[in-house]
Amino acid sequence: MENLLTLQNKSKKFASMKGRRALVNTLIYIFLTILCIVWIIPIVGILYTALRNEAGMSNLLVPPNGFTFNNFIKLFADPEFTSIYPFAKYLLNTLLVALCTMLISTLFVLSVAYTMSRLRFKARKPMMNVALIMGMFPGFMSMIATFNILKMLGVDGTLIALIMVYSGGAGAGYLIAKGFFDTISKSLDEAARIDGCNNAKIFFKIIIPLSKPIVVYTLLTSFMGPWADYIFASLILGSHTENYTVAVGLYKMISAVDTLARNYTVFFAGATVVAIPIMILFLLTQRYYVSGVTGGAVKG
Amino acid sequence: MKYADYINLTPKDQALYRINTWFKNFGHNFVQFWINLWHGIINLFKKIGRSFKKIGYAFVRGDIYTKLSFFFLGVSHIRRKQIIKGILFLCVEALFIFYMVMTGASAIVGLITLGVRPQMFGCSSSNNLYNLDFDGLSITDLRFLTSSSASLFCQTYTGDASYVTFAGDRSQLLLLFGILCVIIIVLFVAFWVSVVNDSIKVQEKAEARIHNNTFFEDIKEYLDGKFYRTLLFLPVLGIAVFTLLPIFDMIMMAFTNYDLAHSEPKMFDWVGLQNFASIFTQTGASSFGYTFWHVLGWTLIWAFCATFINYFLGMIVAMIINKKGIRFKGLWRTLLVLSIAIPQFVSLMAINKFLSQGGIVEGLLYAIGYLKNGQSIQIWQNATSARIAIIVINIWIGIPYTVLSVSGILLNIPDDLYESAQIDGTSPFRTYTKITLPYVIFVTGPSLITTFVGNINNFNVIFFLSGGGPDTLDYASAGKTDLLVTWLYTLTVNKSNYSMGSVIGILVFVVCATLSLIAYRNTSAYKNEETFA
Repeated sequence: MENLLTLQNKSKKFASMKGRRALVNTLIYIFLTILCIVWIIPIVGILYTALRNEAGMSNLLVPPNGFTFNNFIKLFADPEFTSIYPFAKYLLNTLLVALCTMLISTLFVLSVAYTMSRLRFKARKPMMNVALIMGMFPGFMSMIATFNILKMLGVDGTLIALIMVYSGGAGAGYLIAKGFFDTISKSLDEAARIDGCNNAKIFFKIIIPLSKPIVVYTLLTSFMGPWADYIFASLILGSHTENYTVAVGLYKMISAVDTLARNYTVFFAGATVVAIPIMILFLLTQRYYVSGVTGGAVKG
Repeated sequence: MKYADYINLTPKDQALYRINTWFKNFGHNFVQFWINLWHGIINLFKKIGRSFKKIGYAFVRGDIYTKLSFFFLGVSHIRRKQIIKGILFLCVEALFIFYMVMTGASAIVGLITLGVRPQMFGCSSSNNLYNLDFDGLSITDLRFLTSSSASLFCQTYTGDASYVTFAGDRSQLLLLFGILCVIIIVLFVAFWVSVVNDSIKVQEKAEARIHNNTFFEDIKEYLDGKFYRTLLFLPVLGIAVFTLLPIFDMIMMAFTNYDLAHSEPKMFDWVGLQNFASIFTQTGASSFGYTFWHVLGWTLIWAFCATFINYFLGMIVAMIINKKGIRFKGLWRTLLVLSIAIPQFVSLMAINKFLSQGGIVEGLLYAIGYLKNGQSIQIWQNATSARIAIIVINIWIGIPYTVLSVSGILLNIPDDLYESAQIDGTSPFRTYTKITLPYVIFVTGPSLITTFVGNINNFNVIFFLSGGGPDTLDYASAGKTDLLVTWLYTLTVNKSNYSMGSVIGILVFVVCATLSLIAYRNTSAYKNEETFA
């Protein structure tokens, strides 16, 4: 009898717990929905502004002239606009720079990471310390000096200069990839060595194929960097408008008061065009990105 | 204090004890850091000394070919049938000497003087009737320091005001070439030492009738034993040219008076520690000293808020998403991560425009009746509201990063910990504070310092959101929301005050290095790096 009572009590308690859990979960769903709505509001705002049928900035919630795709068309096909801001050319420039940077920096990063993770030599620790110390200088401090070096090499204002700046120092950002290589078992190397592989073969034939997540992560981040960079691009390209990347071009569209009044909605159309490929790329490769971020976090 | 004693303290005493030890260790670690740095430098010199000892040995022990190698690199190698290698060494030496004679020597002089010949002007008219003898110079040779005095003089004496410009020394390039030359000399000395050491080695090997590698075998070695050199060559070259050289250049600039008044065509000069002194001694409003401390203060507040608010809020969101029984985990995560996926210059500039005067948020505030007609939104015009807006908007960018990194860690917490807590009837709050939080902090703790340093240097958020504004006359070329890095950017790019910009860069480095080295040295990842794999 007593047992039965406790059992009943228990099932009652269980039922109430179940009810409470359902309530908690409902609250959580509401919270998450609100959170996600807040999160995509700026993105919706960009699209909303891009579709407005007007030129300048407006604080009217509903556009008086309705919606249109003209801003996108203007960006690529309006001869009057494209003669000042050749947006398609900007896109092409950016794509070229980003692709070259992606390939070169990935090569650099993986080489350095593999060397520091697997190979042992006298200068290894000192080199790692130098990289650590170097990383603590603000990157913007040396911008002017970098610019002078590019001038010295005679490439300032060109796309090659941009590629050199973005990928030249890339090797210093090797830590995350090194953390990944550290987790690949060393016995693989030893087995390969017994089978007669040299270090070069071990790197290209064994370690790289095993490191798909980190390779994709490195490719992704080194592509996104140049795609979205404004600061270095604007300094290096200066007045060479024909070499502008999208970031510099878009910034110039709304940098002055009069251009702002003319190009505000076109800027947002351009921003959408720039953001969409990156967003798709990012979402497709999200899981690799997660492994990169967490890998870095765990290693510190 | 033993752990048993510590666990018996009240929570308040425990907290006090921890704070106390943190500060005690801080001092100790700080001192330790500089001591280690000192030891590092001494070791470096010891190593240099040792390598010279080896050279002495090589000189005493070497035969005539090895001794000749001291002056003509590679002679010893050629004698031991390593002909290609020997010729390559000789070529490098010849190149170095050629470089030193052609430009190197003058580059060193240029580094010391930073230019002696200012830009000058002279009369361009060759058809001059008044070819006066003026201190032994003809008028066409006369040179003037300013263009106006030249044109006046030429007008008076030759009847033609036009003048020609004689370019002066360019301090900026002299500094760069000088540093490059010093680097080349240091590299060549290192190269010389290693070749001389190698010379005695090949001699001894030949004497002992041990096989010396052929050129082909040497090349093959670069794919195996010396593979690290092959892999590192290009990346290190890139880092040297595009990171190290600029950093050296800018560090040197901090000791010059390179600003707008001394930029080309004028020259700048060495001033020693004067720039640093002005940061630490000036206290008046709109001086660099005053601005530095205020901007530093806001930088630290910003870095603290940006790091910890994002960290804890992100952790809570991550836990909610990863809670058992919540569905569509992937969807929630993806929607949040969208804010990382958009290039920052796009999203931040858009938000800046939405929140500024005449933007859509203003319209929204009109619509809900918060703003009356004629009023306008003042977020970026007011220091406090601009600062709060920046921190809040940064949450939008920062939380997804924390969610991504914490999600993986949360999945790794052993389930039995939670089960036993549930059996003991622990409340969800206690489970969070006693299991989840310590676990996550343990794993992600070290990365918090990295994030903190990253936020000190967080350029994009400030630059695109507020541009450092609202501007104020109290600061020297800085606005109320400027961080040290954005201030540095304004000083160098807009105000051409390169020397002050470099000083600030160096001080940012000191702040970041002190913070992160102290934290980094205490992590197991640094101490037991070898045992990780």
